[in-house]
Amino acid sequence: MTDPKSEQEIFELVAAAVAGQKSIEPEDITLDSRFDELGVDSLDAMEILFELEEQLDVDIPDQAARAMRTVRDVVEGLGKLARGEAIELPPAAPGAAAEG
Amino acid sequence: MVPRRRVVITGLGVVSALGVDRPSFWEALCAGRCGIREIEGVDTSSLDFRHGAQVRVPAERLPDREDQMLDPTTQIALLAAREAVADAGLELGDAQRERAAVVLGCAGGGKVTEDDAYARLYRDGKKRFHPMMVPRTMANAGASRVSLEFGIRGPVLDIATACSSANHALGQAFWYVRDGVADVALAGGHEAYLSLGNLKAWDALRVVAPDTCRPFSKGRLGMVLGEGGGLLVLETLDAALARVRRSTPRSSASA
Repeated sequence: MTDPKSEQEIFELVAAAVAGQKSIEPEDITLDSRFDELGVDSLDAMEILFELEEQLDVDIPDQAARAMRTVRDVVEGLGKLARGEAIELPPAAPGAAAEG
Repeated sequence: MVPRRRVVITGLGVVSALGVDRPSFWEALCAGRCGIREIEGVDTSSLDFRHGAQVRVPAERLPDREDQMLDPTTQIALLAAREAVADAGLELGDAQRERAAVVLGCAGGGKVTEDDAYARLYRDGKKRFHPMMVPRTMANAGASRVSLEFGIRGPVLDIATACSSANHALGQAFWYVRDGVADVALAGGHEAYLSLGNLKAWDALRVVAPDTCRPFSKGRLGMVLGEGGGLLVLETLDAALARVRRSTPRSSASA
């Protein structure tokens, strides 16, 4: 990530990415918005994460991405990556390694 | 032995450099127009040829964002399939979807997307591919997208046998319908790979004409690459006749 961004700036990027993907207004998205309520499915999520990774030049680990349920989860995760901190990964589910 | 059924063609869809639907294609063909022009959007200065039969899909034909993101070869397959199905007046119910097939010939696949992504990776130092890179570039992307469009759950496959891919696809689909594996099949071929990397590959073969395509002419200089797609609806004669009978009262009322 080249220039550190504030949480508000990251939120706006996330809201814009979600709004663009789902053709909804960014104003309708808050920190507490849940992705399932916004109609974001797994394919949408991949596109949104890709766009944010490109814009912020960070890599969101797959395991962390799967645990993100709300806009706040993503904003906080990106904030940590932007500050060079590690994202706390949820414990791997049994058999998760066999996925893919 | 399984009784062989009569197979008929009931729908046709075309996307070509001459026109992005059947009427415009036919009109251009009858008027003797040529679809070969200077290739646009690609720097051809390092090639021994400049011409190709390039498809230009008008933006209004692909209003959905998801369709706009597809590789051009898949877009071509999708548009041709929509036209063919509409042309046949085919409306598949749940049971019919189980008994329908898609067999398309496409030897290259999403080559334009692939070329573009590799250029970004190797030349521009980009670190990431788009997450849909695999479904966009796989050779059977067109057949898969067409099956999703119509909810087809029978055999869905791509046949890659170079320039004869579409021919083999039509043959395979014909066998499916004739022998009772499927009752209806969308079959044909599609391809689009006029990007620099692919044009260079053909240039290296030394088979592309620097001027134009003149088959059987004594002074011919080679072949010309083109993009396009053509799809047919194949079904049993009985199913086609039953549909015509169902729609006849409506047709005669409007005549």
